[in-house]
Parts: sequence; structure tokens; C-alpha cells
Amino acid sequence: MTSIDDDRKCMKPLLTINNLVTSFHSQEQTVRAVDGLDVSVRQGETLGLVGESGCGKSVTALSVLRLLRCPPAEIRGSIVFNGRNLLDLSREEMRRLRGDALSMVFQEPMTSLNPVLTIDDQLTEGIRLHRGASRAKAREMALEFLDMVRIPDARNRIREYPHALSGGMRQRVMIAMALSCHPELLFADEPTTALDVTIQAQILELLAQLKDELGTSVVMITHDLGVIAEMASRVVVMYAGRVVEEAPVRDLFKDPRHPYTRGLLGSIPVLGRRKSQKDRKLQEIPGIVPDLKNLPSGCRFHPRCPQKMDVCERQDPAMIRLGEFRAVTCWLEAEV
Amino acid sequence: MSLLRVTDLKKHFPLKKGFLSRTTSLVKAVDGVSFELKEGETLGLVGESGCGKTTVGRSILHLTEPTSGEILFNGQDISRLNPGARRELRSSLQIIFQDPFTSLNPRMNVGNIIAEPLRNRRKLSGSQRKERVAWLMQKVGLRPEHLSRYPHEFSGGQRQRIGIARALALNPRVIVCDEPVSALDVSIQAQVINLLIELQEEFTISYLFIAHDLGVVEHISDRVAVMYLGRIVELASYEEIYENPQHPYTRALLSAAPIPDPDLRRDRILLQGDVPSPIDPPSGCGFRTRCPQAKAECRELEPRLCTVQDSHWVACPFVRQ
Repeated sequence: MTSIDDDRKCMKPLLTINNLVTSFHSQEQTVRAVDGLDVSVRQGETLGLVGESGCGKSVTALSVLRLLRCPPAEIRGSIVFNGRNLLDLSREEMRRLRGDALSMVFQEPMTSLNPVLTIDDQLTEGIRLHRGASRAKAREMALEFLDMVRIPDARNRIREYPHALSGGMRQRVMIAMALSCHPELLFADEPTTALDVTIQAQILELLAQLKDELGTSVVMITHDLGVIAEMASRVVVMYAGRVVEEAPVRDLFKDPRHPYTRGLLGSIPVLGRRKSQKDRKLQEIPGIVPDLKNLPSGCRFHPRCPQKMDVCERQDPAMIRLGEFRAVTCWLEAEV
Repeated sequence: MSLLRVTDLKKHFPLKKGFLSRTTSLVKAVDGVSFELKEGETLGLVGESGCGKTTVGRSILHLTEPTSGEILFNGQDISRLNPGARRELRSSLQIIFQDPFTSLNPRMNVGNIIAEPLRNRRKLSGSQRKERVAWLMQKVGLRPEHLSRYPHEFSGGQRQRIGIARALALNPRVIVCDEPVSALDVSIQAQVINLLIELQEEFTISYLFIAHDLGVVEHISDRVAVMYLGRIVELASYEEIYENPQHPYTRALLSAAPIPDPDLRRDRILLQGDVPSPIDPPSGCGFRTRCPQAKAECRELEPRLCTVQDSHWVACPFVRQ
């Protein structure tokens, strides 16, 4: 993990997302999965994108990589990567970028590899396409990458099909594949959620090391605040398609400003924090995440918020900058 | 006195091959597990996927017939009871399943789902049953007027509440909770854990709480059993497990869990490799292939659970100092 001071040194934004709106059209209605998102990723940092299911964190990644079928999806706003707005690129230009400078690791190592192609086929595809390498050269590079992600006996494993590998091994192959063309930016969408704790620890360690070695910027998408605390230098918390808080990782955990962030932190049973036999009740956030088809008026969190005020029901709060790296979308901060 | 006592429970699944379906090998999913559960107690059962924790839970209810071993409930051996008596006993033993999306019949409305155990096991009049269902729904935090809705109309957390109401219907003494919160979002997870705690305090229910999330298990349990490859490797109170873990696997597991505190820097014990297959487990100690402290003797020694302190049990011969 990089400290915030390290972070200040590498200030140049690599990716700037402005007012991103991703909506899905169906015959009956339109649902906005991401609704006015502003996020930037700086060179060399690991940005954590955290939130519960349906908050729009995965859709954000899929929008940036333009992996959503349009229609039914519609992506508006601007996504500037290395000075170019990705939304203006042609499909062919986008295809050249994907897997090269911009890459992604998916959540399910079981379903995101092609079951009828060998590891060799899948791993060399990107290298041959983007680097124009020959089959033999691409295979050499692929083997190097399998060594790098610590797959034992890579020379034999490369000939196997995904089903012959365990979940942890498959996720290593996915990471090798995503990093095979030295991307500048990697989206890791819940890369360890489907894995066991001891395997998760291996994969997180590996990701952190490779990130440092290759100088890749990472956007880590997860619902697990433990993973965030370990990996991210900066965190963006999302709720119902919007950013509710943005902060350096330490500030977020020590001084969360949004009631939702506070609720989220309070509701996790933290290992080793249970003090007495009696003290078992967890802090809970009442209610459930709103349905995107039927959003509450005003602030989207107000029906569940313990600090709700009158204004919260009537008016949507704007994002308030509290500092260079801190922002919160809440009326509580607007008053001060 | 213990309410439930499990002794040397084994469940081996045969692997059949070929035209004559001959058994070629055995998957030793559970291989000699013993523990007891006291009245009103919560015993956490943790371990990684494939360690046999779910099979233990299902065997206790005889949802899968155990290969061998003894399960005593209130002093009665469940496997020796005749089917009628066993069914009677089952009303005291209930289960909550992991996946709230697949464990409720999508064609039954909530009222019928919750009333089904009552219909089968209790002779109640229609109005009494309705009253009981409404009461149960209220207890688990559902609105009784939603009685005629179907499972798909509820969120994950609410569906898990329906499952809890169904398990609660017959006043059980023991509930096996098989990963009851792992499919839920963090904020909803806290609600369901709190509900389980409240119900336990009100009705004195014992929980066998099966989960892979150490934080959740430590939080809800009085005692914790750690499983690896079909066996319990460590069993102790939740404080002991967290503050004084003895088995190398427990230590590695605890150190691997990510903790939401960016200032916390721990020495992480990184285990190499994957869990071995239960079809062909390593000889001797099952953990020796990944154990950072493995010695040559571990190939031969079959470690048994032994006490290191009062009621702290460890299955590793090298921690008994």
C-alpha cells in the first residue's frame, strides 16, 4: 500500500471520469445504474471502489472498458484516459486499447475463462494481438507471466484447460492475462470474492507486488472493507449509483463523514474486536438498498439515515469538497 | 449437560466408475468429527470450502445419512430411532440454509412456506395456524400482511428472515445455521446476525453456526471449532481462538483474514498451495502439505484432538508445551 505522501507525488490523473451516467433501457422504463459519477485515478495509485450490490461499482468498470452492449445500455458523460475520451473512440480503437493499456480482472474465475480453450490459447491471444508477437514468442512471454503469478510447473500447466485448475490458480491465470501487455490501468472487479481466505491472502499479496513491479494503476472494486484497508490508497464509496464519499484510506476508516460510510464500518463484525460475552449486537443500517427503478426523493440514503433532516427528503445533496482528496455528498457537511 | 453430542462422525462419499459402478475411491468429506453443543450455546464451525463443515451440519439432521458415528440429542441416538420417532425429533432440530434464493419454494407464498412445518407436525386449527404464522413473521421482522406474497417479491435479507421463521415454527432446541449471512450485503448481514442473537436470547436456542467468515463466527459464537480436510483441528472459546490460537492452520487462517483497519500491519502467515483433495488426502496430518512447521513425523502421526488447557483442544502433537 502506498501512503498518501507517495500519492501526492504521482498526482497526474491517468483516468478522469466526469458526470458518468450509465442507464439501461427496457420497454417499460429506464434505470440509471450509475448516475453522475465523478472519479479520477492517478498514476500508480490503487483506488478502492466500495459499495453494496447494485450500487453501480461494476457497471462503472464496464462503462470505462465499454463492455456493455449499447443499446440496451447507454453511456453518457466523459471518460478521459491518457488524454482521450474513451466514449469518442471507434469500436476498433477501443478494441486495441482493451487488454493492452486498459485491462480487467473479473470476479468469477470459474466462468470468465473460456472452458474450451487451453490456458496457452487464452493467454497468448492478447500478446499476439497487441504486441504482434509470433506464436512461439507469445508463448515464451506467457510462460514468463505464469511464473510471475507463481503458477508452479508452468510449462505443463499452460497446456491444460481451465477446469483442471483450482479457483486460486484460475484467478492467477486471469491476472497473468490481464497484465500480459503491461496495462497502465487495471480494473480488478471483486478479484478475491469467490476465493477462500487463505487463497485470497495469496492473490492480494500477488496483486500488490505486481502492481509495484509493473507500475500499474489499479481500481479495486469490492464490497469488502477489509480488502480495501489492505490494498487501497484512496477510497470512493458508492451508494445507489452515486459517490457518497471519497477519501484517503486512513481518513475514511478513522473519520468517516457520510452516515452511510459510518453505518457500513459499524456493521462489520471485526475479528478480535468483540470484547465481552454479552457484547454481540452489531450496529445495523435499517432498511434495504433502494430499488433503482423506484428511488426515494432527495438524498438516496435518507430513508435509512439515522441523521436525516428535513432537507434530505426534499433535495439531492451536492458533492462537497472538504479538501484536495476528500469529498462527501451529504447535507450534514453543507451546513457547516 | 450437552444437548447435542456428536462422536466420531464420518461421512464418506463413494466415487463410482465404469460399467458396473464399482466404488473406486472414497471422498472422505467428514472423517472423525466429535463435539458437543450445550443448551443455548452457539458453536461456530469455520473452515474453507470443501473442509466438510456443511456435511457435518447436514449429517446431524440426517439430511445426508452419516457413514458412521453417533449423534446423541438429549441422550437419544438419532440414527437408532425408528422413522416416526426420528421425524418427531426433527422438530427440535432445524436448519437455515445459505442461499435465500434457492431454499424457498418459488411457487409457495410466504404464509404457506412458514405454515408447512406446522401443518406437518402440529395439530392446529386453521385460525390457530394463521395466528402462529403472523406471530412468527412479526418475530423475524416481516410484516404479517405480506403473508400472501411470493419469495421473489422479497429482498435477500427478507428471504433469509422467511427461512428463519420457517426454522423457528416448531420451537426447535437446536438450529443448524449453514452460512446464513454469506449471501447478504454487509448492512443486511448485521441485521440478520442481530436477529439470530435476539431469537437465541428469547427462546434459548442452540446454534451450530457454520461459516467461512472468521469475523462473523467470532462475533456470534461462544466456542469455535476450526475444520480442515474433514477434521476439527482446533476447538476453543472464541476468546481463546482469537487471542491464543495454537494450531498452525488456525493461525494462518486468522492472519489471512483482511481486517478493516489500514493502520494494522500484521505478520501474515501465507500458506502455500491449495487445500488437498479429500479423495486422496495426505497421510498422517492432513495439513502437513501446507504447514509452515511440518516435520518428518507428520507423515505418520495421525493427530488427535487433545486439550492444551481446559476446554481448549488442538489436533497437533507439536503444540503441547
